[in-house]
Amino acid sequence: MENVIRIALPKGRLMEETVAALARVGITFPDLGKTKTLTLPDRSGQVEALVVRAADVPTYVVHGAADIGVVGEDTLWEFAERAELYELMTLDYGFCRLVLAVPVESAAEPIARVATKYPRTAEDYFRSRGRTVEVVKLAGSVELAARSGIADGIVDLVETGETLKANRLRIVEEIRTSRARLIANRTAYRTRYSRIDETVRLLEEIAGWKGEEKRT
Amino acid sequence: MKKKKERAVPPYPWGTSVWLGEDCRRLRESEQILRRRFLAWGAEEISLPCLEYASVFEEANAGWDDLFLFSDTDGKTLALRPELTIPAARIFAAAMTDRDLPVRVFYAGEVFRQVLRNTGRTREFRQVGYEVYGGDVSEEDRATVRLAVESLRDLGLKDVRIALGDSTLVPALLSAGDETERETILQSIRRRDRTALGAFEGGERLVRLLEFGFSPSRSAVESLASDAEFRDAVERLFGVAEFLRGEGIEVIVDPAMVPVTPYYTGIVFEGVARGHGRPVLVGGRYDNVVGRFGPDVPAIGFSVQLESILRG
Repeated sequence: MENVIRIALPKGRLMEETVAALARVGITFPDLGKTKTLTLPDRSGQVEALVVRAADVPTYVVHGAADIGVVGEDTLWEFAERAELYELMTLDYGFCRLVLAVPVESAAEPIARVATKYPRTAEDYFRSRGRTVEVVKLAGSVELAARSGIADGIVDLVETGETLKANRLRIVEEIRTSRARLIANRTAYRTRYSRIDETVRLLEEIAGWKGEEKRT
Repeated sequence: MKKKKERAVPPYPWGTSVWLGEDCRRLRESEQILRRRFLAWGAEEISLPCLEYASVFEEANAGWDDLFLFSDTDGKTLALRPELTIPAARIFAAAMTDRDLPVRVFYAGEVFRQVLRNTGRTREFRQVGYEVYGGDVSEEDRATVRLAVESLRDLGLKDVRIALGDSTLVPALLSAGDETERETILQSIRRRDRTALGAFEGGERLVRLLEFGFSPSRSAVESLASDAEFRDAVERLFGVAEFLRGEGIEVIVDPAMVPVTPYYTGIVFEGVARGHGRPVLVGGRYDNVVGRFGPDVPAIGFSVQLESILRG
């Protein structure tokens, strides 16, 4: 048990591709989806998955309850203790954009108030540009906020843009892009470096990963 | 059955630290173990004030944004101490410079920092620290890191390892750029974020440094740059690492270690132990701190995070 690597896996939109990526490097969880248990051994017995809410993955990792984890970069933007994690690699899936959108009939300016699930990121963005925009935090259905008058616009993640279109919103600014990332607990990565690094290298190989820019 | 009425008690502030019964006994016992170790090493115990002028910390750490602040009667700003290295250096400069160097001290006490609520952290926590002023720099570097490892072993921690770096190594690889970009790069290195580093001009060298991983060969690291500052840092780092290995200590050489605390000027280290997600000990060399309060005297020290050790 002591030598098992614990990996936090995010429920939701990144789960399927994460499981597929791990399967390609030989880590498979036969019981996944077949049981309500939230800790699952892999076939080799070398790895154990903790299935948690996507937003909780960094918390499990920073406290060392999981050694490594997979999470969207968007979740890390909002995570207060991001500086205490290692971000070992960017994966080649989970691509999405954080955008500012307004009702199709509105002008792009002025924006006095936005609604978002990403208050920290939105506030950083506007403040670092000297813009005074009030940020209202919502837990979901953000599109509705701009149509119902809570805010002039929304800051939200888009993958295909279909939801925006259905709610008659248009993108006026792209704020950031996000992909899935492999993160690690600092102590776990340092003390179990060779095991974790081997997994990173295998994942890089199968993805042909070369980072955002060319690497030497 | 009648429901037992619960008596409401006034809550005490969140993020404070209470030690009762067995918990408290273990805390005192741990401190006693460290006290014995430091006394045996020739250090004397000192006790330091909780209040200090905020400017003392701000000068040492621009951008310190987690202080508890108060107004003094004369309008000056007071802070609860967020750490003990600076207050100790100040007391050394004020009251102990007539002694023969090196002077060794240790202390135990609470430190106070504003933290985000509900992150599982407390706003006050106990540290036990050791500092040495003066002496032969290279010799004290080695002896201090060894003492740190021995302290953790005394406390009965399993699988103790020391992660070792040098605070001047990464800065020596950065080209002179603007301040904001520099801070972003340092943050990316702290996170070992190769994606972010790859996007910076000249970032390939830093990506390579990260890809050396832990405990790379000295020649691999040396191949990255040839200026004097960089070579000195590599020399120091591997010198201490080889000494510790010779003493049978397991060392994780982390040439990319970039401490958040900005006053370090050489060897830096973190104690890690199995079952503890966060470092249980942090320390390093700081040769420019004492000089701010008195004569220029080099120094190195570390603090043991008792909260992390006793409460996981």
